Amino acid sequence: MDDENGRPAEFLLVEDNPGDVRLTREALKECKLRNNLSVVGDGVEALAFLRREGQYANVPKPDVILLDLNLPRMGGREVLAEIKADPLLKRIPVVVITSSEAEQDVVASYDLHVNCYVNKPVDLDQFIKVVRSIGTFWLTIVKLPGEA
Amino acid sequence: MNARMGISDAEFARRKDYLTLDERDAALLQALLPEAERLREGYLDRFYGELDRFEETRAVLSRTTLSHEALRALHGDQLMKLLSGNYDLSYATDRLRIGDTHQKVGLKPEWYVGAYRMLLGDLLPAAWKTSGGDPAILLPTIEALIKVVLLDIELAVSAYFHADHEKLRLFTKVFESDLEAVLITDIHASIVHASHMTETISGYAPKELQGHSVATLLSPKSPLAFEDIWREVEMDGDWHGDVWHRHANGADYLARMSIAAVRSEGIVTHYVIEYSDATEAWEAERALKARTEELARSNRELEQFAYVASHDLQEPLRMVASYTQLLARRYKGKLDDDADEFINFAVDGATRMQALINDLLKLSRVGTRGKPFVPTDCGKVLDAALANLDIALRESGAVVMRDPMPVITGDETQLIQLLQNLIGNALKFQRPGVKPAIHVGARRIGRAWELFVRDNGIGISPEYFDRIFIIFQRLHTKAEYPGTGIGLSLCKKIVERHDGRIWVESRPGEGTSFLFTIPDRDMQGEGV
Repeated sequence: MDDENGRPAEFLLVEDNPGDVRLTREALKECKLRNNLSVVGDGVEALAFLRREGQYANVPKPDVILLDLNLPRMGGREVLAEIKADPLLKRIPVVVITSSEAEQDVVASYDLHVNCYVNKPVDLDQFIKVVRSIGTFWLTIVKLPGEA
Repeated sequence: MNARMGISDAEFARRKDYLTLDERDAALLQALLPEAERLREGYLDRFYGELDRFEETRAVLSRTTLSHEALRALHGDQLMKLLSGNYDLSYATDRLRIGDTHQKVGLKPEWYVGAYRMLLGDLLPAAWKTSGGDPAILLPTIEALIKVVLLDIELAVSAYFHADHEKLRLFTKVFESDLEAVLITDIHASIVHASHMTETISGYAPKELQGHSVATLLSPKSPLAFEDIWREVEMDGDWHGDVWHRHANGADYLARMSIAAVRSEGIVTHYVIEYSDATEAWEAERALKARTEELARSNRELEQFAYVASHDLQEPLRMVASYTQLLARRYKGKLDDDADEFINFAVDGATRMQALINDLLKLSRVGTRGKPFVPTDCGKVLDAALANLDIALRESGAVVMRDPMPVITGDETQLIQLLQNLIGNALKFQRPGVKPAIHVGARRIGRAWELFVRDNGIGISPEYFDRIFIIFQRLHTKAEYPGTGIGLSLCKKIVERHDGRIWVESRPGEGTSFLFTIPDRDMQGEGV
């Protein structure tokens, strides 16, 4: 969608592990898609970012949120609940990307209306493939509201 | 028998001598034989008629195992033997056996002396007839008859009482056994008699206990009230259980008691109470139970630890692996040869460690993350295992033969993992140039199913049959056959969680069969 009208795709990554942040950045770099990745380190920051509070007054509205579940201060589940309960935010696709394979995390996330739940692959090639697929799927295949 | 009863040739000769039963008597009695032969059937008719007259003799007759005909023939022979004139040791033995038998079937002496009265009633007229009325023959004949009848009665009665005494001696021995204390009480639990072991166990002399209630043996701390026990005894006629008693020295001990009613003609007259000191057994049981619980708890903790450790190790390891891979991607061929080699080793190490941690995680999940056991179709389990191995199966061109599979009670996810590991092994350990042929089947063994996975691979030497199931044990270098050394211990753990057994049969160079059993289980409260 965005290549054509000149705006890069906006990703918000909510992740506290700098290693994973860098990996995601590297993976997105290998994407054909022109994109811009913003990163926040915990749930409180994520909500401030999305609501453009304080230092985030001028940040762009993300097209897709990549959300880790294990976060300091406010966990991923609570962030997800807040987003999906907020009329201004609930239409933004949220992809939970986590190392937790626990069934209860999967179920809880979908109960909170997550758009999809993905495990962080342990293998680098797989990881890159997954991130690339997320980008391609949510930004070029899926039809989202408010784009007309 | 005569040896056991102490009757020897000499002893028997003496007994005959007491009666002055001699050769002349024998000749006189033999002379009665023709007449007695004539009387035989009539006598037997009246004899059985007489037996039928009394309830107690009727009862004894109904207890014999011989047929009526056989019994009648036996009695006829006994009669003729009385007049045979051969009063030797075999005669004595025969008579002793009669007494012994009478004691066993409960025929009392006072009942069977009647038979001799009847016999004399028949034989005296026969003697009169045979003697032709000559008193010189008749009187010695009568005397001889009385002698032989007395001999018979003496032998039978002494055998009867000997057997009776034997029985009593046996009972006394049981009562005074060194194994258990035995009490005899009246119907109100008052002790009539106590065996010597009672003193050993309770500390009270048998005499001290006489006249006291069994209740006095119980510890005041016993949670079971004696009145409640006795109520059950009176209701059911018997009682078994463990009760805390108090020793004369004040120490409590656990008595394993059995109480049974003794009846006489249907009415309870006494109770027999047997008991032993079961304190040690009870303490041992309790200690064993505590140790088992402790062991289970520490096992659970260990599993939990392994799970958490391997789970938490995954995160940093993912970083190491990802970044070494990223290094390889970006800088391979751009630095020097050493750098490339270092990177390769780092990537290889990280990858292997990932596999190891993954397998460890799977292993610890068997115990900690297992699902409840439910009826599971092994056909579907096999389908899933084969589907998961689809790529490996196609690459190897393996032929899989499958028998009909049963429905067993288990954890489906773990059973899939089990079959997948075993079939995966069959695919992995193949001989070069030989197309893998795998056979999966099942058969019923008692109350369990036995499943097997058979291959035509490289096989395993018998000396390794046990070792392969131990964690981290490998038989090949990583270059020959890669692996973590966890696969088969995972299989073992899964089978053991199902209370089954796994083992291997193999011949090197021919192939390997892995077999395991999954026992049936009733579905109440099973599985974790």
